[in-house]
Amino acid sequence: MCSRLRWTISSDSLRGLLLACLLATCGDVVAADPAAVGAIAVVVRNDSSIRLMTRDEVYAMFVLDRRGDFHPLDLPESDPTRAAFYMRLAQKNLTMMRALRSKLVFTGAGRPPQQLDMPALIGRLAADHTAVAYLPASDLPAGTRSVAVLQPSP
Amino acid sequence: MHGFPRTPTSLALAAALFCAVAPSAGAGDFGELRLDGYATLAATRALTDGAADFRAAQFQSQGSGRSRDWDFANDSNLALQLSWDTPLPSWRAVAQVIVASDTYDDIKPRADWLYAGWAPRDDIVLRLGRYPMPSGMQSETRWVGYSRLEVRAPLAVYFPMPLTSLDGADLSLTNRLGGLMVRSRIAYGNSEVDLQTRVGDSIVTVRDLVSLSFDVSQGAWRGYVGAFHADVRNVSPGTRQLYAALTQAAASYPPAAALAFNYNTGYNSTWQFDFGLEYQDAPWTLRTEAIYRKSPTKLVAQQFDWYAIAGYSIGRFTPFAAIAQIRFDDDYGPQPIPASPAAAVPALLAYNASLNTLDSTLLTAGIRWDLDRGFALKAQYDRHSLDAPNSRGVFANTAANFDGRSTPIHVFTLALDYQF
Repeated sequence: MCSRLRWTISSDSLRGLLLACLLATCGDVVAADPAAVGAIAVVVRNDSSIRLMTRDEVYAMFVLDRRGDFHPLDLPESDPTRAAFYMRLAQKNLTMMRALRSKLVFTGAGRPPQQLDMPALIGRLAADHTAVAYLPASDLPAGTRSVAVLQPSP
Repeated sequence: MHGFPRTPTSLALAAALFCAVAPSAGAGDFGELRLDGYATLAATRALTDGAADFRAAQFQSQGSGRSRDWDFANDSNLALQLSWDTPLPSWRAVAQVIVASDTYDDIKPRADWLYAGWAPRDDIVLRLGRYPMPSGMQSETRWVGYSRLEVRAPLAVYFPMPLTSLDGADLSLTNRLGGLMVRSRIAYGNSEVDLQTRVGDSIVTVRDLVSLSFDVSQGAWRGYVGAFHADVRNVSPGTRQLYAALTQAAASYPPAAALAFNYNTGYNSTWQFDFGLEYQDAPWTLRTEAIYRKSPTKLVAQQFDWYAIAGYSIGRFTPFAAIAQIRFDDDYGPQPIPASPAAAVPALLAYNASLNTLDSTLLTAGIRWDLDRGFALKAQYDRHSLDAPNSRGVFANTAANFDGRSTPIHVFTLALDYQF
């Protein structure tokens, strides 16, 4: 029976705790410029029930954890697409998003999207029709389609 | 506070709900458990010339300055949160245990969150059990250092609230009104804690607290308006003696009756009004909060407190600066000592000796550095000015010459925040 109980940790940072203690001060700083990221597409698998999403719906799903039956996915903080996505969606930088997510989790109100690196995220999109992710619009994987686009500031 | 606040009724209700949920899950699916946590390791140095201890919360009784040079306890904590999305539709359970310094300077665990939640829709949440005291825009994340720029929740607004949680129920409704997202919340509950205060070791009881708040956000803006009413009793051996002495003195010196009321041992009607406004549009963070507390006695101080903070992010660094004021809104001036009757003299002397305030102005400068893997490093400097002759600010264990100190007090803090 207990095997049906699922355990989750909201971020992957616990797994890296010991490593983090050693590397926290010299880790992978976000080096790439988010402003240099082109259009960002919110993508789903071709057979997803989501047809189009408004900006408010994307905000509700990725920022407020109003996910319904879907599973939003995050890229790592080191990927400039993530910083650009949240800056365009919510006008919030890395520090602000960390604080906001912290509030969401520790009020019991929700949890952040699952974080996957790019290959794992593309694999999850291919395997899960409820997955929702964001990717550079210029390079969408086969079998996926865009349901919203966030353009860079002019 | 000995570990946990004492009111058990709603906790028993929450526990009963947990038990009801588990068997009904049957053999099929026990839902999903999620573990989250946060921690802060902080070192604080307060330069009080050995005349007082700096406190990060009103229930704390020792700290850096007099009891010890460096304090590692008052701003440090470790918390684990267990969330269970039960197999019953719409039901979840959340428990959060935080290990932190208590009112007796002991590091002990307490449960600030322990509730069963029912959310039949995304926009309706009912929580039964224990949840944080609804006092201020950041009340639910008061102890989560990672969730803000500063080392600690702003003292002006959060220091005067010694209670950490409430046992009862709250209902949240979230609506969209045009472009506004509005979270309306009504709460009811009770709480009781042991508290070391300026008048001795007290038991503070909050009865029938009713709270209403509105949290409105649109884009970069967030506004908060809240209020609560409660019947509050604050009793210690010292205040009982003072009340008895003043009541006795009133028989021969009638003005002492009004003074006695300030330390009465019954429940007193207390109001608090909270206001908050936040603007977050990278790279700027601006936030201000204010509270006004209305109380008929000096056991719960009537006061108006506010702060404002501005931060500007440069990559992973966010320097910030803040100003804050705590102002008691009542007569804390010494009462004239009559020549007679003789019985009233010691009672009024004792009354005058009890009149201490928190009146102070705080100037703050600091920086938050966001590291990888859920860490943030902070450095903060606070300059405390005591603004009344009988003010002790947020300090405890004061020496005789500390009240109303004319020179500012400098407090330095280094903190490492972590969350997973």
